[in-house]
Amino acid sequence: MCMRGKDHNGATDRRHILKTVGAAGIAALAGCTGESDDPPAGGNGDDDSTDPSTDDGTDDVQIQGHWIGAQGSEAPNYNVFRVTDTTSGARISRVMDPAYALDEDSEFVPRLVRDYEVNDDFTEYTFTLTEHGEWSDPYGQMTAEDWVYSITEVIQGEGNWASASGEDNWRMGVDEVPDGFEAADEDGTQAWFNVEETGEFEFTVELPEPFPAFLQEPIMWGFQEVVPKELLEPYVEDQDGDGLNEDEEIQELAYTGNLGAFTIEVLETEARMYAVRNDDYYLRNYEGYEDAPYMEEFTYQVMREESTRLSALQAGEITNTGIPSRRADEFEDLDDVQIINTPTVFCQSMFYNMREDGWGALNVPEVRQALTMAVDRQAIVDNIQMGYGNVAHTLAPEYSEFYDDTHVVEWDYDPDAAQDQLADNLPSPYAFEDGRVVDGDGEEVVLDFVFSDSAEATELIARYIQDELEDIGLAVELEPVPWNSMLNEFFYIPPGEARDWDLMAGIGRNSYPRAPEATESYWAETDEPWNTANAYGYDDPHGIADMLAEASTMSDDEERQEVLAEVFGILSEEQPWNFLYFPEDLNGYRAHVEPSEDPSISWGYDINRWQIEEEQ
Amino acid sequence: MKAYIAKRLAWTFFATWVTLTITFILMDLSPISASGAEFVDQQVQAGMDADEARELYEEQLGYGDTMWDRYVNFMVGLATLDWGLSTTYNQPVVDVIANSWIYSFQYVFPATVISVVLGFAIGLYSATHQYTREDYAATLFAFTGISLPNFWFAIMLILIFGVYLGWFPIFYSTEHGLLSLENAHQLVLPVVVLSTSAIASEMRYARAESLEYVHAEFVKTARAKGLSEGQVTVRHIFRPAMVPLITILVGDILGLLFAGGYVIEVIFQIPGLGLVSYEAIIQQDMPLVLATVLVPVFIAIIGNLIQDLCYTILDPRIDFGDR
Repeated sequence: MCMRGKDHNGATDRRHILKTVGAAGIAALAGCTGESDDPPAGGNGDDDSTDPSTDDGTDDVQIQGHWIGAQGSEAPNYNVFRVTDTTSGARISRVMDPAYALDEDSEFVPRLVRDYEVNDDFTEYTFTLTEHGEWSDPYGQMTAEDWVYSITEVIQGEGNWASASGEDNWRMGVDEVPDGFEAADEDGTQAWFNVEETGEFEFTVELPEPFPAFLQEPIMWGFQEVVPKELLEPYVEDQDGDGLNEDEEIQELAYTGNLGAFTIEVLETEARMYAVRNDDYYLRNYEGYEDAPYMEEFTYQVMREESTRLSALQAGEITNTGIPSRRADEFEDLDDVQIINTPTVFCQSMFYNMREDGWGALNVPEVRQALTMAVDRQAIVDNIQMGYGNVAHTLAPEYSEFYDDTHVVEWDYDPDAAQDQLADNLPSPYAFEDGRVVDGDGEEVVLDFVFSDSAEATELIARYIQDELEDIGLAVELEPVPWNSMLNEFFYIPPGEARDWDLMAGIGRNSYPRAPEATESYWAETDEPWNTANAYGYDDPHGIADMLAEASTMSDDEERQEVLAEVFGILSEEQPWNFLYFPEDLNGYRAHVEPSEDPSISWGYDINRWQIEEEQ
Repeated sequence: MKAYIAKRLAWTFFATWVTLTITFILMDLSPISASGAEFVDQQVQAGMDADEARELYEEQLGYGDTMWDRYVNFMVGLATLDWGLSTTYNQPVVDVIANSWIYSFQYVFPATVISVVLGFAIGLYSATHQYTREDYAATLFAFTGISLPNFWFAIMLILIFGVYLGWFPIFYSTEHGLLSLENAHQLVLPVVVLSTSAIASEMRYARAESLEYVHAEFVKTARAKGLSEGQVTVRHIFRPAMVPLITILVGDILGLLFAGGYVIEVIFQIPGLGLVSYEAIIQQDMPLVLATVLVPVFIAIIGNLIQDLCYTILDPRIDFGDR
């Protein structure tokens, strides 16, 4: 059986992604970053409208307007091989399309890759490129040779000479490197994907093991790490990663030709990226996109101060920005502003330190369950998140097609039951005396709760949880710290060197709703947990990581779904984290913006067909 | 005098080197930046070891393997005017500074002129009209101006004059030419915010210094000689008061440029030197931090030298010939 041009549900491999970046990057295209700094796309359309285009015979499409989207930070890098941030990613997406997108239903949406085929055992994917793609002068037509060269010589380059951030995406863990594949590490536990040109506009990606979810992973999905071969060659020959990174054509995205909807005219540090409609956009050769994009101009304006962004949206000086949930009501009441809520892939949680430097009782599932019952998560959603979110019971959002609550245990808010369960399950030497948790010396246990000081909501949540845990007899001391310190002085650092912590909040983790198996690394037990995504030291007694790894190779959807349902159930029972809630992003747009898609985690994938009506 | 200037210049280079070295050491010993931590976290989620991810980040920065390597690289680069690449913006540091200074200058300069002229004038007037209603009004203005936090004042002005009245744009846009009326229009609010506190500050200094001379014997003598009040005020009160006032001028300008400027630039989104240097520090962008430290240190030291030389003009009794 050979499948073509359709969506496949599949498993996933642990060595994948910058899924965080992938998903968030797509969101950033459309401005669905909610309270984050980088809103999606947007435009204000009120100052540069031109005559409606009728040249192509389309009556109902108005090509007009100037989209001005506010970004809370500057794009640090336009070197596509090193980009990891959503601000840069969103800007690059305006001038260069990705390989393909995924729509609201996770269906394949062709862009530079027009079609694909996959073999029966999900080990070989063949991609067909557009024949209308042109690089900027003097690089000529975009062909499969450029793609294969970029992947094999730069991303998979020897010793990662280019310091490519996505290098990890193009290899996978194996028991033994199969014949015909190259080892990607010294001990032979990783194998590179084989990428070969099979035609002028066609190339294949061969995988050492079945990988049904390959298309849903941000490997080829959203892939933009392609540069003309001729531009790359001198750097590849000299293995000059810094030279490549400093190349003006790379940093100014001057090679993108007709591969994106817009062409950059101005790039100003700490100010703006201004781009105009690309009259030669390759996508216009395809049905449904004959007039794309529907805007004349596009600007990303850096605006670091939230109040300035919100004032500018209110006054109509920008087209869109993210709205903090605490101010949602105020903007909902404005006639000329619309707010569109989109789901997110991130689960806001509280981590437990289950390593040797954490409070020992946190290794007991019943204790963790008690702590979950002690916290009114619905109150957090209602009063801190202002209702924009959903309580999480496991690491899977309910909108995910894989969500299955057959085995999911929901721990309702019940402080009395929580206190009883805590008292009944405290391991020696801890005990419950006079309503307080004490250690073997009769001293009250005080948990260190470290949280990121970068978001007001996180602090409110931490204070609320502190109160809730106090109520069941657990003393908690709060320690707000900068996010980078939290990761580097508490989290990704071995016990003994790490500063003391028992509870932690402020790290949102991607639930990978399109490929939940990608969460495998969150649970995999290792000798050095602090060196991995399981830095809190979960010991995985039920083998969740192995189950996810197994599911990732299953081609039978039902079988895979059963395994995932079981995993979701175990996670809800085990409560390795206190899964708090899945927030929603609030995207503020001027009322004259007309999106062409439904709110989803793919929000913005079709931005080039959004319209800006004339503002009254 | 020449020997004095040569000694001061030599001191300039030594002091600059010491400042840069201290800055380098503090930066190098700082924990990883927020963007670096984000990078590491993403790579770890993608399956990479945290240690490996930190190494990859260091490789991307390209500063050098050991502290000494990094120190030599940066110092030699600064000395040879090869200031390297900003890791925050992935642009040559020289370009970042060259592109941003003008945006700060265009509002700091008028704000400085306004605050110095008005501040000194009001201060002088207050001193010569001590305890009058005008003096009390000026004092009230001064304390109000000093007390108003710039960030709050700026946001209020944006709300009132930008959102509700629509008289001024809410944020600074680089699309207008620097010498255009539109540009001047969008700089009104930043200049007002910056000048308000600066006028107040200058005024208090000017008033205090001038008061020392209002009742001085030589001022009484001048009046007794029949000089007009204007001549007495300008030549016999203001001129001697200028000597200590000039001492604070360089510090004030630098304060406006880098401290006051940051708040103004963030709120109005002016892509100037204050914003760039602050971001460089936050992102631990060593090449840009060292360059943005170098510039004000030089301005401060050279500025102090110039102000010392100005003393000889304002007060001919001062002579550096023997020093």
